[in-house]
Amino acid sequence: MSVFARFVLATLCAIILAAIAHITAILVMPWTSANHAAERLVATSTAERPQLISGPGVETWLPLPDPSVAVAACAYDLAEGPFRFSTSSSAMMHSVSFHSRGAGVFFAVTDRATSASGLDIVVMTQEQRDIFETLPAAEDDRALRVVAPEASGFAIIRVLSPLSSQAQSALAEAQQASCVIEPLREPA
Amino acid sequence: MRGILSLDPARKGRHERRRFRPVAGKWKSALNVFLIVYAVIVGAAAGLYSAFWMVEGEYPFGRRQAQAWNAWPQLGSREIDPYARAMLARSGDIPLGAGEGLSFHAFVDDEGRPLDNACTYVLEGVTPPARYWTLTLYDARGRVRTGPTARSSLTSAQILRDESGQMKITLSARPQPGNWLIVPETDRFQIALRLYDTPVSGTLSWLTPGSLPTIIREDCSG
Repeated sequence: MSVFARFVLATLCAIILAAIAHITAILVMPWTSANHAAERLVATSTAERPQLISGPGVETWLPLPDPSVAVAACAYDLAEGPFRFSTSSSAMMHSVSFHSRGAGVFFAVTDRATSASGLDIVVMTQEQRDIFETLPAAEDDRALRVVAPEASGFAIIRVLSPLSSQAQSALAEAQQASCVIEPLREPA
Repeated sequence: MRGILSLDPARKGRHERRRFRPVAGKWKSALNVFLIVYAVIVGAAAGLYSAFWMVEGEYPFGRRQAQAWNAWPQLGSREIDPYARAMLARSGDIPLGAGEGLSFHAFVDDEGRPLDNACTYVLEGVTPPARYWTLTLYDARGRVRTGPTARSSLTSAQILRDESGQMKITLSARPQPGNWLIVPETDRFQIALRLYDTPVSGTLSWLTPGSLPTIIREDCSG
């Protein structure tokens, strides 16, 4: 094979390698970027209340923050059990969303879906869901159950402050939700 | 040996070929090593550079446009593409879920001219159905003015409307009557219109012209 042919072959190999490196870099970025929201929120996984990350008058790392919306978050890891996120009923417009690195936003709901006692959502893995189905159902548990695409992720609550005078109420309400890991009971 | 080479030219030629063959082999090996290193370095560098280049700036896929406004509805759903996912990872942004709302961004006016803080703009018309909406101005670096006199954001609950329900918001560095927002300090800026709890999803249908406020540039006297 001539030198030129070898060079052309090497260039073709370089192009194929470039394509592989490009695709790999794009696919692994959500797991390697230190700026990812999931990475920044790791410290909130031990908190039982959402931690404020943005809102009226709040310093934030969020790009393009909405100054009229209080945003609070808690991260979770389903290794210990399902994750329950609950809000109390409120007159202020609020929404809750669940995010993971690989799937992005996998569930979101506004307070229109609330019962009289507020939003109650349990996030679990498919395995936990299968075990849960075998357990005797609790009569008073009307939580919405969501199967997470990954074992770890984070929940976001947004509370809108339509008027400046409601800013403090929105900030307080965003932090009043509850986020706890509730291990499943063993089947009898 | 010296005698054989000097006495038999044919044998001498064979001997020289034998002597040069390993040198040619070494040259080929060195060339092969060089080409392998070239392919690996150029391939990896080009692949990584193009990946990081793709995740700078606007989301490359899934843009939906209505008048001067752009939205990326797939950001808040499981249909998000890998590039957008990588961009969110790099920026740290947390998009609105599809069930929460949708955000629109404008970087130009209705005639396609970049938004300039030396100009006065009028946003006029209606907004798509939503429980609430907010309108916020960001500077070229994505920062919002803060402080009690910032006037960088308005909500649907704060807006003054005319008798027909239409709204008119003036964006200017100078005080204006009615709904007024102060343009950011950087030359270029962007406007974000966020619809909260809206039936507009962008995945099944899209907005007709006139569904969003027009952005009209007035004077640019600074």
